Amino acid sequence: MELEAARLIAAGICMGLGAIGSGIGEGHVGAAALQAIGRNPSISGKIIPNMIVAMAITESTAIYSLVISLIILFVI
Amino acid sequence: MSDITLPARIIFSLGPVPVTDGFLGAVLVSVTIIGLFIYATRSFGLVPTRLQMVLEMISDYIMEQLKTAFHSTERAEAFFPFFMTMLLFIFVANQFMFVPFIFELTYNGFDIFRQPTSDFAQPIALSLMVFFISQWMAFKISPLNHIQNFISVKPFLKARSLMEFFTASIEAFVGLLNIVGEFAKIVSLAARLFGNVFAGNVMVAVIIGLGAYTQFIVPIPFLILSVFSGLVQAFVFMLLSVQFVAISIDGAMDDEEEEIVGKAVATT
Repeated sequence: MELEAARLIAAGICMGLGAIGSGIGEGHVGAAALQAIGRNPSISGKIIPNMIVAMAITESTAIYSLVISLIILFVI
Repeated sequence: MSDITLPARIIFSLGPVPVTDGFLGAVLVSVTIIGLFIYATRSFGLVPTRLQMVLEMISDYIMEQLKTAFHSTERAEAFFPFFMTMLLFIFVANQFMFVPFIFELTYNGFDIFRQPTSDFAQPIALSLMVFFISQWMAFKISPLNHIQNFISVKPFLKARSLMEFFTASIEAFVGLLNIVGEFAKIVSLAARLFGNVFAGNVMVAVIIGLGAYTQFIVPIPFLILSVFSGLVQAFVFMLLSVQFVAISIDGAMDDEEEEIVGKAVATT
């Protein structure tokens, strides 16, 4: 396989596999937050900032793989 | 945004110091914030203007977050300027690409300015600042307790049986893991901000580069998405760094308070 093709495939696989876990996790976070808001709608102003922070932490693995695939694409 | 490069481009050298486009962007952002606040605070009064309302709303929100994180008003007020500056800097820097004609200014064929947070050096610099502040504050409060969080010898000295010795060795291992965790925080905090902002730029550039018909209307939803993620990431960076500093201060305070309580119990 040529180096260029290997690089592109590596970047694609890295991003695709890295996004699976954080996709599932973010779905759980959103679902739990919506359930909480459904039980007590008046507290949604307190839940939504916490939900966004939790989502940002959850998606960090996807961001790592994104950074690595960007490095593969643009630096190496 | 003519082409995408990961490292910042060196525009010119000031003696031995290379001046990059990301650095010039950061200077522009700082000047914008300073100018805005000089203009805003000049007209502050008892009857608030619209700008004053917005600024006070943001400061109140951050003050609330700091108070709940640090459990003390004094410490929250001491830390407030640092975190407020960080939030404003990241927030303005993330919306940098909407300054009109900013990417038309070129020098030797390259853009002069670059979005500061899409240069990996700057998120790393911000998170290193948070790292050193959290370590230094915890160290100042109680050096012994702070070091004990990482190299725990105390449980070994207290251990009397084999089982206690076993749990003590587990605690020592957790302490070693904490050292790795502290350094992982730097990278994770910086990579989160950088990845979101840079990915937004790449996405818009790819959509624009698809063809002649996708240059005008089609990128707008993606631009809105990157505006939203820039706002959220600024808040997330600030809130997470508040949490890191608060956690490390708590870790240093915890044992000390316990000891004080223990002494109080012993004296009574």
